Amino acid sequence: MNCADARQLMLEADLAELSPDAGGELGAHLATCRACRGAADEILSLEAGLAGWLAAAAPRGDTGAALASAAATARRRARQRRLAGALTLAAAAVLATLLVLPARTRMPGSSAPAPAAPLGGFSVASPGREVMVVQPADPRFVVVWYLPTRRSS
Amino acid sequence: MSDTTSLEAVAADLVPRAARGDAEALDRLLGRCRPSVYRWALVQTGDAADAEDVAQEVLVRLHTSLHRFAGRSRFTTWLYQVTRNEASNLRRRLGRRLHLAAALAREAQAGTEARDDPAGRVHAERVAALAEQLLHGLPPRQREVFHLADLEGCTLGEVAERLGMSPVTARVHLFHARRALRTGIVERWPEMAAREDG
Repeated sequence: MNCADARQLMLEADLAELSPDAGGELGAHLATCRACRGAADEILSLEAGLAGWLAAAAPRGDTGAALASAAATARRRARQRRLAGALTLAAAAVLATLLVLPARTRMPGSSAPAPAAPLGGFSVASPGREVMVVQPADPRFVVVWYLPTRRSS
Repeated sequence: MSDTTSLEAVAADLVPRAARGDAEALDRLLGRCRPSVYRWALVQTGDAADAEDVAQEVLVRLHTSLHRFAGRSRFTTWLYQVTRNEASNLRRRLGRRLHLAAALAREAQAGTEARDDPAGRVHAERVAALAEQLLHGLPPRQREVFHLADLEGCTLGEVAERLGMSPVTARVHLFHARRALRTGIVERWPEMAAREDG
């Protein structure tokens, strides 16, 4: 193997293949060629330095304070989620009331709607969802809501 | 033992306890995860301050979403994905290009200047230049693969699992990254060797 071939291999070689005791064709060349051995050592040294530099990189600030801050943020977001869930349910309840109320406030003498036919099917909420079924004034329709399940904090 | 292996071993004990509501286990888990998450975020964002923000957000996510970790993958794989997503969210929020290496190169340079020995200073300067090239010059995929495989000591199978690619693709990215980082070193060497010989 000549130096040009060795240097091409060195560009992609695993670090173990560049070590002084590596076997194989490349290892044999590195054992006998001072210039290529020097280039291999330079690669090993710089990549080890890079790994050491990155391993030593650490977040600034106190870990305890960071954890306390994370816990406080998590609690605040959980409260916000619970509030959003409650508001969604409240909005659904208001809408359901608006849909059902006309059936109960029919004027005397007005013709009553035909009796509702039994529902011809059923629906299953997908995992992580809750289902709410409302029968509005018009018996031809059924309103089905799929709501996200409220998570406990 | 690589950092990933060590973190995985710690997580195997702490994650089930933390998921059951053991506050002390959760605190220990978060404290142990923070440095690793910070380094991953540092490679993703290339900026120390951004990496701090990402690491903090990941701690919050761990607080609120640990129950979502179903144990189907390694904990470190899941955590790496959470970190990547947060880094990606941060980039979107900031709406700017990565200003990758400038601050990091300055930090590495600061370490260099503190050295007394000229040889050590030259070495540290080269490490800083390589760090800048790693964080600034490489495309994101190559950067991630090189970091995980050559700097964190993950196997190509682990790298592929974390990044959602095949081991063959991971290897191709790794070769490209090594070529990009080493070409300058190898090209510079014959000249230096000739000087030494002369």
